[in-house]
Amino acid sequence: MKTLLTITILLFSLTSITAQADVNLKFGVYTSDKPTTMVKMFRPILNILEQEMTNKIGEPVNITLHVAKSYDQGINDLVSGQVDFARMGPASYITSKEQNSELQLLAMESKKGKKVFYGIICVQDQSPINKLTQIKGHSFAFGDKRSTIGRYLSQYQLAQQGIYARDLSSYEYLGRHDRVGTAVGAGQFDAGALKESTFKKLKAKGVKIREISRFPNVTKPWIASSNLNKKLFSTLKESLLELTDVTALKVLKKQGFLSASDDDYNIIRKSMLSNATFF
Amino acid sequence: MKPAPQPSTKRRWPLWSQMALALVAALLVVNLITVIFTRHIVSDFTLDQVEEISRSSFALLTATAIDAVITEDIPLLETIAAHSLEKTPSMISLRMENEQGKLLAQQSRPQTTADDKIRSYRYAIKFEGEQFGTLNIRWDIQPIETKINNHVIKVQLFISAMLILLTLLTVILIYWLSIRPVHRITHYLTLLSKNSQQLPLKLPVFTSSELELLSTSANELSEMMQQQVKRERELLSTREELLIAHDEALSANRAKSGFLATMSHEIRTPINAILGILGLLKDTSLSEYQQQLVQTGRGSGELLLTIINDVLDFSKMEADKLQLEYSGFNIHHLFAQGIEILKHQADEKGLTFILIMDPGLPRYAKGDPDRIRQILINLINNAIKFTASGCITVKVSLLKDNDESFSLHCSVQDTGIGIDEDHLAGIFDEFTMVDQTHSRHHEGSGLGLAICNRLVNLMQGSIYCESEPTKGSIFSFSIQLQHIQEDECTNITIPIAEVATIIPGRDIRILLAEDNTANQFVIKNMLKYAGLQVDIVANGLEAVEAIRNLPYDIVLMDISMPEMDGLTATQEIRKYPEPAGKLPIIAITAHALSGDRERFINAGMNDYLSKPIDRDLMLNCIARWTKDHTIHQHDENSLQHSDTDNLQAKNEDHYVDEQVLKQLVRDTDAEIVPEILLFYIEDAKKRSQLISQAITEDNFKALEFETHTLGSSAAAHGNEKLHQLARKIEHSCKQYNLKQALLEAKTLSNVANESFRLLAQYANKGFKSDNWKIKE
Repeated sequence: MKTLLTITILLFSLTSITAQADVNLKFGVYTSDKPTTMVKMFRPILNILEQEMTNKIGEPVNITLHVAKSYDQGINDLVSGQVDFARMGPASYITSKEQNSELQLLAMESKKGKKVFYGIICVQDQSPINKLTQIKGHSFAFGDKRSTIGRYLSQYQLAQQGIYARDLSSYEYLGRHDRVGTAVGAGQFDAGALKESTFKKLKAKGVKIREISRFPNVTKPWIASSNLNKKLFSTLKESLLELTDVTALKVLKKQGFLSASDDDYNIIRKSMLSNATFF
Repeated sequence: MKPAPQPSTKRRWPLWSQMALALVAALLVVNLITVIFTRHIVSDFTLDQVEEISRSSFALLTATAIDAVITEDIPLLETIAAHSLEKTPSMISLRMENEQGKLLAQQSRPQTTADDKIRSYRYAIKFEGEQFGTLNIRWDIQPIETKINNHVIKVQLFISAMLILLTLLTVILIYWLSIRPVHRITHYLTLLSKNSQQLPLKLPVFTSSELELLSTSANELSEMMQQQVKRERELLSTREELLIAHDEALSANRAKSGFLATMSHEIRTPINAILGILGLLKDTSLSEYQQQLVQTGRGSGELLLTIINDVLDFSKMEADKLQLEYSGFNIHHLFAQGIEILKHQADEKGLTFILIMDPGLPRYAKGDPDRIRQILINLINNAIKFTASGCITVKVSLLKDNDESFSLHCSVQDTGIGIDEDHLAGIFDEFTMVDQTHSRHHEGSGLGLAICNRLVNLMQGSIYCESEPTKGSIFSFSIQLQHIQEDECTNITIPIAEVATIIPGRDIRILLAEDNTANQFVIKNMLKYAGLQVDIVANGLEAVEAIRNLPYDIVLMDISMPEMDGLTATQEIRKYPEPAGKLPIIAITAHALSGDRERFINAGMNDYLSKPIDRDLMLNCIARWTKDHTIHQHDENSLQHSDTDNLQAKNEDHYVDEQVLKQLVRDTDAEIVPEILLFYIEDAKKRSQLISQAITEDNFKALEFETHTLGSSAAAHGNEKLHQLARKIEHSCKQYNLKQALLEAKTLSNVANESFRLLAQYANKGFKSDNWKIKE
């Protein structure tokens, strides 16, 4: 009888172990860089999150990384719930939120303790252009069509200065930020918009570009899918906010996570909504 | 001795072909093992290689496709997969799945090989520790395997070729380094076994030390064999020489023996006759000058007899054939007699003779009295010889005494010329005389002291001499003797003063064993003359029988007899219980050689008498051994032994020896002698016929026996020529010189008839005339 009881307990334990291994979460990003670079960037943080969450809920947590090959697919994955949580640019968040209002913000990345960082409008070093208004009549290089800095905020900035698409001799979406800086530096475009960190990196590499204007941008949000249950949501949120691992954060080139609300992205939403006026 | 191993009849292979075969077999085995082993290794290696290729392909594919896998970029993955398959002919199929197992891309080609040649590998596509998908690759290992196998076969062929080459080289090298030298050594040894004369074997300089050692051994063997052959030749030569020398020695020895026999038989007898004649002559009326001549002649004759006896004794000693007797005797009597014998000579030279006997000296002893007497007489003779005036002192004393034996010391001191120191050293050597002057003045063989020395040594003693020139010499000897009681004394030596004819007690019973009827007749009559009765038997067998039936006191036993000889009969008698077993047995023999006495004594006989029989000696002998006698004073001539007092004038040209007849008359009776002679003639004629028969039948044994018997009786009855001829024939038979025996025997009949005719004339004339009378 005692033996039978022992076996039963053992079997139960095994079953519970099997049940514990079931906490599998999918984290989604889209390729703002090479997919492998994306993996390198996020895997350390995901590893820490796995550990932290496992500690918190007392069950083994596995987080797999899902890299979408495009912005659209990334947005779709989150909206449709194919990923449990995702990190995307502010613009993509706005788009996603529009498609699924039940998406919830988990946290937003901290750039040196702040929620904002800057986008740069640059010209060639030798360019006569010194201020935004002088761009009129010149060619302009944008980033991705879905990019916050690369498109919405920069076009919003130009529109604010009364420069519209038609005022530009030509413009093009070059996709990634580094391509923009490189193209400007090479003189293929008279001016271009890119994020500050990429600008600095290119400058350091010797690319002949010069800042003529800068505009604030909100750091990227980490968004939970509408499918994620509350417990996991709060644990995940908590883990993110508590995340201080320097090594992991350094790869992400961030200093931590801050609490986020949908209002933090109003400016982005505004620029996106008014984007149509640029054309 | 083990038989030499025979070479096997089985066909043997030469060593080089055995080695070649062994190496080829080893080569095959090595190759086979290598093939199996290589196949195993190659199989593993092929799989390793495929796995390696697969892993490399995977690594390459991953590097190319990781981004596409992460982002699940299916078109790109399809392109990559198609490209990979196209560029990798061994790849059968390639399948990529995401981490959920969803197919991302797949490419394959038709499978042309069997399933066992297909290997599948599955790899997880991971990045930064996270698995993004899996890659399944299926490989056809056939081409790789074929490729590797081709390489392996090439390598194996190369190795085999190398091994064959190696084998070939090894066989050639072994042949040159080992087999060829071994062949040479074997060939050399084979030649050596046929002929030992071989030049030294030389091997090439590169020959191994072991084979060099073997060749050295073969050379040493050759040398040894040569030396052995040489030695064998030398040995054979030496052996032949030795055989010749041996034959020569044997024939020389035979000649010597024959010579000694002749000396004994033939020379001493005429000397005795000469001495007898001179003795007779001395008693006739002679002038002083004639007396001197006779005296000188007799002295020379006696000296000659002594010399001959010395030579005979010495020859016997040389041949180690002289054996001492051991009998009980009276020491005092022995020495007294010895001195008495020579006292006359001392008196003639005016020398004083003194005998000093130690009172503590035992009276009786066991030893060889005759030989002790011989030593004593020799020393005293020398003393008399070399002493012109003064005295000769003989001292006998006890030197050492213990329970069983004692040491007797005797010294003979003279006041003669003495011997200087230079000559003293070799005084006891053979043929030594002190100097030529002596040899001229004092006759002798030069053997006397040498014989004394040897006799003393035989008696476990020593002899030595002290001397001072002009003052005199002392010769001393010591000998070992055994203690005995008086009743053990069997050798009665009669003191010289008491010597006389001894007549035995008349009631004693005597048995005579003699086959020759003539001798039977003579002895019977001699005994009858002394008033004694005798029973006669014709051979040893009858004697043995007679003694068993009747209590005799003494037996006179002839040696050579038919049926059973005297020695065998004596041995048979000695087996009887007492008193018959202890009966005194006296040998009667014509064998006069010195040493015969020992032979007879050894056979169990007590004493012996020489033929022809001397009456007085016979009576003395019987009396001595029966201890029942009366003593009659007698002429001094009769005191001497028959050997030294045989007056027979033997001459082989004389058919009849009158001296013998005279002795016969003296020993028996003048009346009876003719009867004796006729009796002899009758018996001898029968013998002569038997001899003729033996000649016809070539029966040499019978011839030897009959001539011996005839010779003996012829000698006893004065048929001297017949006696000599019979002896010659007997001698030839003994020497197996049968041709000579037959030649001599053919003349026997004539000699015998003439001898019998002449002797019959004597018998008819009778012996009563004064001519036949002898001074009593």
